Formats: sequence, structure tokens, C-alpha cells
Amino acid sequence: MSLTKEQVKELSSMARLALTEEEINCFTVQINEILGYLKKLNELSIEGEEPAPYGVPLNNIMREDKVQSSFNRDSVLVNAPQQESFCFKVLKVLEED
Amino acid sequence: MKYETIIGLEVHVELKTDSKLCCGCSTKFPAEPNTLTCPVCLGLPGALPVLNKKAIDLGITAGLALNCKISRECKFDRKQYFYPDLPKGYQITQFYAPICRTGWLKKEFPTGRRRIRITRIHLEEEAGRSYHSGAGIIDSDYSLLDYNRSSIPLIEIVTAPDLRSPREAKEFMEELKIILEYTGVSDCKMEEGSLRCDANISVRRQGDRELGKRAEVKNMNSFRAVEAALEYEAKRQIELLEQNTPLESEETRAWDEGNRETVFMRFKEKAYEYRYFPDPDLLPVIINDDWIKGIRNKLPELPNSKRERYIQEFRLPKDDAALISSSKPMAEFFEAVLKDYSGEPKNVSNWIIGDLVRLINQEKIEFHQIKLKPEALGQMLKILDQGVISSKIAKTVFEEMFYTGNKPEIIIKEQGLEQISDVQLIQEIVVKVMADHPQSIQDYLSGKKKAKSFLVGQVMKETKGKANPGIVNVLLEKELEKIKE
Ligand SMILES: [Zn+2]
Repeated sequence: MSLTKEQVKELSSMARLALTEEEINCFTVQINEILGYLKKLNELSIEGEEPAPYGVPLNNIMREDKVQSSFNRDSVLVNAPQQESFCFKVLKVLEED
Repeated sequence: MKYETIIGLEVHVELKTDSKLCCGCSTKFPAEPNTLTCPVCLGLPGALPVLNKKAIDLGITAGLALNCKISRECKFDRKQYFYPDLPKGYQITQFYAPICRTGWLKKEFPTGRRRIRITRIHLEEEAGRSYHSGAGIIDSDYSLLDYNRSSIPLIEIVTAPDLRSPREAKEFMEELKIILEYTGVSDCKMEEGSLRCDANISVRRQGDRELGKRAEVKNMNSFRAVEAALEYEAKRQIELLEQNTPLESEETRAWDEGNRETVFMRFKEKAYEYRYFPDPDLLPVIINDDWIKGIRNKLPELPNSKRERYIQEFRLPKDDAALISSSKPMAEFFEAVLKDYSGEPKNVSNWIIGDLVRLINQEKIEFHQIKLKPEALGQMLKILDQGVISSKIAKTVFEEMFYTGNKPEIIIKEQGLEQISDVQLIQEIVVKVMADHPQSIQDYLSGKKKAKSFLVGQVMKETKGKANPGIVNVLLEKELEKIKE
């Protein structure tokens, strides 16, 4: 399996990355190199093995429903590129077609 | 031509936890914007989410109350999309292994009792809240984001397409709300957005097997809006069918409350690619039998079975039973009164449904905020049954108990409200009233029966409503007979 240029374009739009034609060409090659490397994994025999999405063999790690103090608002809003009325201010949101 | 409407619901319910799904920030509402956030619910790099056990408990509770199978292995996935109200760039949800599957809710509809199947219930987190600068999202130049709501735990309950009319959809939502309130899963405040629903709706000619193309209707913010929006949409789709131009592809529409219509938002044909994958930060939760049993044992009696029991055990009329069982605090109050009061249960429900509900509405409070104690109502009913007070005085006593929380015997004593049953005393008043109203006696003698009620009324007025009406009637009758002779 290898990715076409079109697929890389789609990927970049899903990731909200504006790439130039040149970058697309470059990344198409690079991503396919990475995929080729991952293909090596297909050589392993995993018959009878369960999928293991988690890195550690643990479960039921939970906490009690206790309220803890939140962050100070000023330090939260430091990360806002723009703010108004103690809210994060963002550009007009529109659905893409 | 007859048409059939087919509706399935996706119901979002905020869980009643104190803290958020994956961090210790408070879920309280309302609060100053952006005061209830931390690196986890703001999606700052390096933050590590840890699941709130109560959210899992409430998910299991909802599943048991809706007769679902509880998954033994409950896992969380990331649903990726970009939207300013989603600070992490993905939502923690359950795509592959939801906490509950295949349940049902039995509901008495006008057309009979049916089971509405629940397809699945999954846990997920809320997004933040956005405020738009213009009148609506379209003419806004910018949006303001408050992340207090970000990561509050939710469940999404998905039903099978088993509902057959907008009214059924509304009634199903009402029943669901009662169950979720009873079991403490959510406070279900639709006006605050802690209970919301989207509906998938399609129509077909009666007898057709295949389902028509459906529309998803969003933005219905009250039970009445659910019914009105779906009425509108069903009618619209039937008209399209009659013009031989049925929906060709699935679409999403929004209910416009002001213009009373559903408005096209987008076609659904372009399926969003959410790139779901297991959240590596959140380890699986294994739910064993003991855990489920523990929650099952703590489930309260559900409204359906209370309703049945009130009809069987207390001989309440169907409507009374339905109304009282529809609210947990009201049902608990009703049952508590009956612990002290061994008279007719209908007497109790009359006072609750009548005067109590009226006063609660008048004072704009919630049932659980009332000062009136169930023992006090029980005591008052006993006193009323014994004839110590008249039923008219009882209304006064009841209002006093409602506003002060005092015991009835104290109110009656302090205000001198005991019923007067002293025959001699009443006799004197009857004679006085008759002497004061000779015209009424003339009227009575000339056949106007109403004149007698007037005289009874005057005696009651003289005694400030405290005279025993039975005795007043007998004595007045006697005196009038005397004059006739
Ligand atoms: Zn937080």
C-alpha cells in the first residue's frame, strides 16, 4: 500500500494544514517511506494474538468523584490569542462545503 | 393514502457528577466563564486524563434502568474533528465498546403499550459552550468560547426507529426524563441543556416495507419543540412524497423555533471521517458482576412500577397515579404521608395534586424545597377525619403549614380554628341569623330553597367558617320547620 498525492492532500485538509504543492510532493514521498517501514510489521506472525491498543497491562484506573481546584482564569486566558468578556475569542465559525 | 412516520432518537444526557469526566474541575452551573477549567479539560499538551468512577456508575445505572446489557469491557475512543468548542481536537467517546447495548423502555401510548428498543448507550464528554456575536451563527463575525462545560460527562442514548409519531417521541422523552431523574443519573434540565435530543425521521406509505430516506432534526430545546419540529418535518416529507419528489439523500435540518419550521443545514452524503481510535490515555474498565449487582441493589423502585402499585395497592385513579409517580420527590412525599395516615390514600393524592401543586407553582419553587412535612399533612388529615376542623378550615391550615412548616395542631390551637360542634352555641347563632334576615325566611317559605343555603352561609360567616356544617344544617332545618307550623 502506498499513498497517492491526492490522499496526502486530503490528509492535510483533515489536519487543517495548508501545504504548498512542493510540500505535498515532498510529504508524499516521506509518508510512503514511513509506511514502507511499518510494512515490516506485516511480516510478523500475529496469529492468535489479541489486538493490544494499550501500552500497559492495566485496567480500572479511576478516581473518586471529588472536585479539585481549577486553574486560575488569568493563567487560562494567557493562552487565548484574543479574548473578550473572559472568553476565548475565535473567528467566525462556518461549516465547510 | 395513509402514511407512517418513523422516528428514532439520539438523546444526550449530562450526568449528575460533581466533577468532570477526566479531571477534578467542578460541573456546577452557572459559573463565571472559564473559571472551571484545567490543563486536562483545556486539552493542554502533556495533561493526563483519569476517569471519574461515578460517571461509569451512572452509565451502568442508566443501562440497568433501561433494561440494557452492560458491557464487561468498557473502552474509550477518540473522535477527531476541528471545532473551537473542542479544545483537544478530539472528543473522548465510546465508538467500539459502548457501556450498554440492547435494552428497552416500556411505554403506555394512546395506541397501546409498546417496547421502544434502546440500541446503545455510550459515555462521552461535553464540548465547551460558544456564544456568537451576531443574532445567529451565520451573521456572527466571531464567537466567544467558555470551556467550563468542556469534559462534563454525558451519555448518549440511541433508540431503534420504533417511535411512530411526533407525539410518541415527545412522550418517550418525558418518560425517559422521569426515569433518569428517579435514578439520579441526571437532573435533566432541558432549558439548561443537560437533556437534549436529535431525531431521525422518515415517512413511508402504510404497508411499505422499506424505510424512506431520513432527515436528522437538531436544535429542539423543549418537549413541545420535539413534537412541533417532528410534526412539521413529517408533514413536509409526506408532501414531498405526494408530489413524487421524496427525499433523495439524507440531510440534517435544524428546528427554527421562531419561524416554526425545520431548516436545511447540510446533506449527510459526505460522511465525516472522524478517524476513531482507542484513547491510549484511558485504560479499559472491566465491569464485573459484583459491580453491576451493587448498582442494581441500589436502584430505586422505577416510576412504571410505582404507578402500577398506586393503582393496585392504594386504589388511586390512573391519572393520579401517573401524576404522583412522575416525580420522585412527590412520590416519596405521598408514600411518607401514608406511613402516618391510615385513611383513604385518595385523600392524600387530592391534597398533593390540588392545593400543594398549586402553591408550589404559585411560589415558583421545586417540590423538594417545600417546608411542609409529610407527617404534618398526615396529622392534618387525621384531624380533618375526626371532625375537629371543617374541610374549609383545612384549606387555611394547609396553606399555613405550607408557608411556615408548622404542625397542624399548633396552627389550629394558636388561631382558634377548631370546629364548633357545641349544639347550644350553634343554636344561638342560628336564631340570631334568622332574626337578622326575615326576608330570607319569607323567601324560603315561599319555596325558594336557595334561601336556606344563604342562611347556612351566614351562620358559617358568623363563626368564621368554624361551625360544623352538619350540625348547622340540622338546627336550621328544625328552626325553619318550627316557623312553617
Ligand atoms: Zn478540568
